[in-house]
Amino acid sequence: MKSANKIEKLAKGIRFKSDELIDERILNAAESTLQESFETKSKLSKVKFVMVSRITKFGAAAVIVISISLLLSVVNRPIKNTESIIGTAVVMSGLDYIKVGALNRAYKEGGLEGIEENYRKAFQGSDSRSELLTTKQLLAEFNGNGKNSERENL
Amino acid sequence: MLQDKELLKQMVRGDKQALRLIYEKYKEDLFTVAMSLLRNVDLAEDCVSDVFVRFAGSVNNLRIHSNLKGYLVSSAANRAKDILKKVGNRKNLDVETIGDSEIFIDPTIKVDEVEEKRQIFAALKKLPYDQQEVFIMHIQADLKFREIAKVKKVSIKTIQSRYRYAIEKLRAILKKEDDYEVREQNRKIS
Repeated sequence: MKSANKIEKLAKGIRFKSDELIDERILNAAESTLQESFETKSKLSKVKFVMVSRITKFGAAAVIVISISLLLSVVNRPIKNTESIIGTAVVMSGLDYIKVGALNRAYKEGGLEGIEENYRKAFQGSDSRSELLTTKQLLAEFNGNGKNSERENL
Repeated sequence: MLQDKELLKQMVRGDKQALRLIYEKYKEDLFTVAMSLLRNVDLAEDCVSDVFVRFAGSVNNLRIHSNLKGYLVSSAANRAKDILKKVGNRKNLDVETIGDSEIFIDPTIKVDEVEEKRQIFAALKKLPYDQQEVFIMHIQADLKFREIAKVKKVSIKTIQSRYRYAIEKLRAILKKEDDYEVREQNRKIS
């Protein structure tokens, strides 16, 4: 009867070898797979770097927050008009801009009288306090200048 | 020769030469395990090829918990098991098993030893698959019980007991064959 040691020793000697053609075939297939995997890895690693690194993660978050803030500030920013119809720089909202545009058009068409005419037409029949104001006073009120002094003159 | 860790690092960087070196280093172990479990040259080639191509393709998420040799050998054993299941399910497939003469044997060894090796190789086939696997991984691929337990995810005691049963069974099978040969010789003499 064979001892365990002898069985082990004999079994250790049973070896198999592949031939060169098989080796080459396997290696070629493995190399092309490695190449593909490495290319995929290179693409993924950039994204992974941003997601894994703490610094880049915070950096990316900061960039996103700043971008959103900038975008919101641009959307909500009032339209700047460098020169008002009486030559004073004012900051107006979109609605104010339309009003001023209408007044400008009226001024070009008929001067101060044109504006006054348009204004009278707009408030005709109304009990509005504005009906009582002159064009000059209206413009002053519109620009927020000398509002009280003009009223005092009335 | 470069250490496995260094070779792996280079391979992960896409170095094909490192992949070749790993293959050259472990191909004989892989073929021996595959051939011992599958007993078919073509199936063994498929097995080793699958293992190595998958290994090369796993650079993105390579997680080797044991050593590289343990990882590759256990992958070959697992793949061989899958192939055997597939082959077993295909009724029409004519499984061409290797002949005894195909066993690689060192030409310098004695004829008696060749015969003994042939007997052991044939007896191995009669063991339950789990015992065959442990015996082949421990003796032919030279893995420690601890390493086999780690890659097979079972306790070291289970692996040791499988090995012990394998040796006992092999001894019993070989004794039976020896007894038969003695009886045959006696019969011829008488």
